[in-house]
Amino acid sequence: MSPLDLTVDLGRGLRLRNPVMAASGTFGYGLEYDDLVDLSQIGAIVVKGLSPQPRAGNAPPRIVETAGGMLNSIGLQNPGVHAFLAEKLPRLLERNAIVVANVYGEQVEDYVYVVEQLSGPQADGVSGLEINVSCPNVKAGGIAFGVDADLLGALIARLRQCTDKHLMVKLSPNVTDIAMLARIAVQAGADSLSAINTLLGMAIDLEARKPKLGNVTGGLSGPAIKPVALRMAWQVAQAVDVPVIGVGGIMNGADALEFICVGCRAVQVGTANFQNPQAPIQIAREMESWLVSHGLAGVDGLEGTLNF
Amino acid sequence: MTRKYQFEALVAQTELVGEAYCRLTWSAPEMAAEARPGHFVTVRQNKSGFPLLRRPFSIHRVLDDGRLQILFKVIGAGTRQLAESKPGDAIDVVGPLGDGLFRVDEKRPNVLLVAGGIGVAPLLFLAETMPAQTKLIPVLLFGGATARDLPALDDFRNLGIEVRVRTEDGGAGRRGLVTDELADVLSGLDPARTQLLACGPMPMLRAAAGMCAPRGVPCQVSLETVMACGLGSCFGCAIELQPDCAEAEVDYVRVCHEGPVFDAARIRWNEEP
Ligand SMILES: Cc1cc2nc3c(=O)[nH]c(=O)nc-3n(C[C@H](O)[C@H](O)[C@H](O)COP(=O)(O)OP(=O)(O)OC[C@H]3O[C@@H](n4cnc5c(N)ncnc54)[C@H](O)[C@@H]3O)c2cc1C
Ligand SMILES: Cc1cc2nc3c(=O)[nH]c(=O)nc-3n(C[C@H](O)[C@H](O)[C@H](O)COP(=O)(O)O)c2cc1C
Ligand code: FES
Repeated sequence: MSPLDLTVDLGRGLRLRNPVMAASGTFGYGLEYDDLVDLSQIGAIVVKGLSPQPRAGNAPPRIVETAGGMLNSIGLQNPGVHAFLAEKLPRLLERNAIVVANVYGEQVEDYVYVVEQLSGPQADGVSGLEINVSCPNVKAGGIAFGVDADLLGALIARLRQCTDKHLMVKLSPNVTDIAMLARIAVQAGADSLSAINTLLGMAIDLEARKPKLGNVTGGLSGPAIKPVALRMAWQVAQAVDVPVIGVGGIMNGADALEFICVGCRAVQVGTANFQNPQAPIQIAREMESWLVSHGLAGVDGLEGTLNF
Repeated sequence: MTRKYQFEALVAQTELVGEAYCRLTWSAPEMAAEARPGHFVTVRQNKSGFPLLRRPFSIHRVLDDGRLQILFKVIGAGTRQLAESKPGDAIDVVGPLGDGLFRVDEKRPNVLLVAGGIGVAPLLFLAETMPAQTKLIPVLLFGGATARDLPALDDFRNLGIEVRVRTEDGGAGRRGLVTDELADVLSGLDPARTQLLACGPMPMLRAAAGMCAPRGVPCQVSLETVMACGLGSCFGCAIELQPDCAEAEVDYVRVCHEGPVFDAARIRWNEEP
C-alpha cells in the first residue's frame, strides 16, 4: 500500500497514477514489457510515436552508446495508428494501463489525421495525446515544427480544433528560446507541455572516418542531457501556467524530484527503461520515500519550490 | 512465445577461458526451463548505472540443475566488468529473449555448425541438446584468428563431436578462414541432406550465406546488432530484409524480437556490415 496519494491530475481527463510516465519510444506499446512489469502501476505509458500509415524507419545502425547517454535514429518505425487502435490499445487497457498516445507527422494533415483517429470512439481508452513536434515538416523544407514559432502555433491551434482530449505538446530542445515556443504552444491550446525531446547529436568512427549511425545524426538521450533538460524544464515552467512534464536523463527518484522542484508537475523516464524495465515504478517509489522522509504529503509540496 | 523474466541473480562462477574470454554462470531455474538454443539474455552487473545499456549475450549452456551460462569475449567496459565479477556478486538478468531460434530440420542429417571466434557461444547449447531432440549429431566448423580464439573447443570434443578447425595464423588446425573449410566440406556433401547453423562476424555469415544459397542448403544465422531494450520495443536493433517483391517498402526487422536467428536467405547482406 502506498502511504501517499501520488496521483497527478494534468487536466482535461488526464489523471496519472503517479508522477512518473514511461517516455515515448522507450517503452514501445507497453505490451513488450507485459511479462516483466505490472503496467497498471506506471503513472502513464506514452506509447511510441504513431503516424497515419506504417513507417519503415531509418537505415541501421540506429543506436550508439555515448558517454553518459545514447544516440538513436530509429526514424519512428511504427505500425501506424490503425494497427495501434486495433491490436495494441485493447490489450493495454485490459492491463489497466493509463495510455497517452504520441503523435507524429510530416505535415499538418498527418497530425490532424492521427489526432482524429485517436479522438474517435475506437480510442475511448486513450487518456491523452502527446504531440511530437521534433519532426521535419516536409512541406516547409524539412524544418521541424517545434523550432518555428509560426509552424508550431498553427499546428497546435489546428489540432486543438480536432480533439477534446488532453493535448500535451512535447517541446524540442533544439531551439534558442524554448520559453517563447512554450508560450506559443499554450496560447494555441496546449493543456500541458513536456520538455524535452532528444538533442541532435552525432558520433563517428575515427579509424573508418564514417558516421556511426546510418542516418548520420541522431537524438541524444540519457544522463548526459539531464542538466540541459532541467534548465529547459525550469525555463518552460516559469513561462507558462499549464502543467509541465520534465523529461531528459532521469535515472532515479532524486533526478525526478529535481524536475518537480524546478516547477514540473510530473516527469517521464526514457533511456532509464532500457537499463531497467522497472525504472518507472522504481523511480515513483523512490520519490515517495523521499517525500515521506521530508514530511511532504505529495509532489505538490515540492513543485516549484526552488530557492535562490 | 517464451515467458520472459527479470531476476537479480547471484554469480555462481566466473571462469576465465584463455586471456580474452570468460564464462559466467548463475542459477535461474525458471529461465533455464524456458531457454532454447538461440535465445539470449541481457545482463547488467553494476548498480552504479555504468555502462548505461544492458549487454546482450547468447545463452551458452543450460545445466541440469537450473544454472545458465554465457561465454563472452572481453572487448570493452561492460564485458570487462562482468569478467571481473566474483561469485556472490549480483547481476540483473532479463531473458530468455528472442523469438527467432535455431530450428534443426530432422530430414537433413548433415548438420554443420559454423562458428567464427566467440560466435561459438550459442552453438554449444545447440550441440548439447540436438542429439536428444533430433537424434542428429552435428559437425562443428570452427575458425579463429589464432589458437587462443577457439573458446569452448574442448567442450565440443568432449561431446564426441567432430570439430574441423581453421586459424588465420595456422596456430591450430589448417591455416585459413572457417569459410574456406566450409567450401571444402560443402563440396563433398549432398545439398539435399545438409543444413547449416552459423554464428560469428557479419562477413563470415555473409560468405556462408553466399555459399549455401546457390546450392539450396538451408542456412540459419544468429545475428548481433547494438541493442537498447532487447525486448522488441525500441526498434533500435533493426536489420534490413531482402526486398520483398510484393511490397516496395524497405522491411526492417528487430534482431532482438524476430531474431536473433534468421534464415540467411531473408537477410539483405550489404557489402559492408
Ligand atoms: C543477440 C546477441 C547475442 C550476443 N551474444 C554474445 C555472446 O554470446 N558472447 C559474446 O562475447 N558477445 C555476444 N554478443 C556481443 C556482446 O553483446 C558485445 O560484445 C558486448 O555488448 C560488448 O560490450 P562492451 O561494453 O564490453 O563493449 P563496448 O565496445 O564498450 O560496447 C559499446 C556498445 O556497443 C555494443 N556492442 C559492442 N559490440 C557489440 C556486438 N558485437 N553486438 C551488439 N552490440 C555490441 C555494446 O552493447 C555497447 O552498447 C551478442 C550480441 C547480441 C546482440
Ligand atoms: C530510442 C528512442 C526512441 C524515441 N522515440 C520517440 C518518439 O517516438 N516520440 C517522441 O516524442 N519521443 C521519442 N523519444 C524521446 C524520449 O521520449 C525522451 O524525450 C528522450 O529520450 C529524453 O528522455 P531520456 O533522457 O529519459 O531518455 C525517443 C527516445 C529514444 C531514446
Ligand atoms: S533492441 Fe529494442 S527493439 Fe531490439
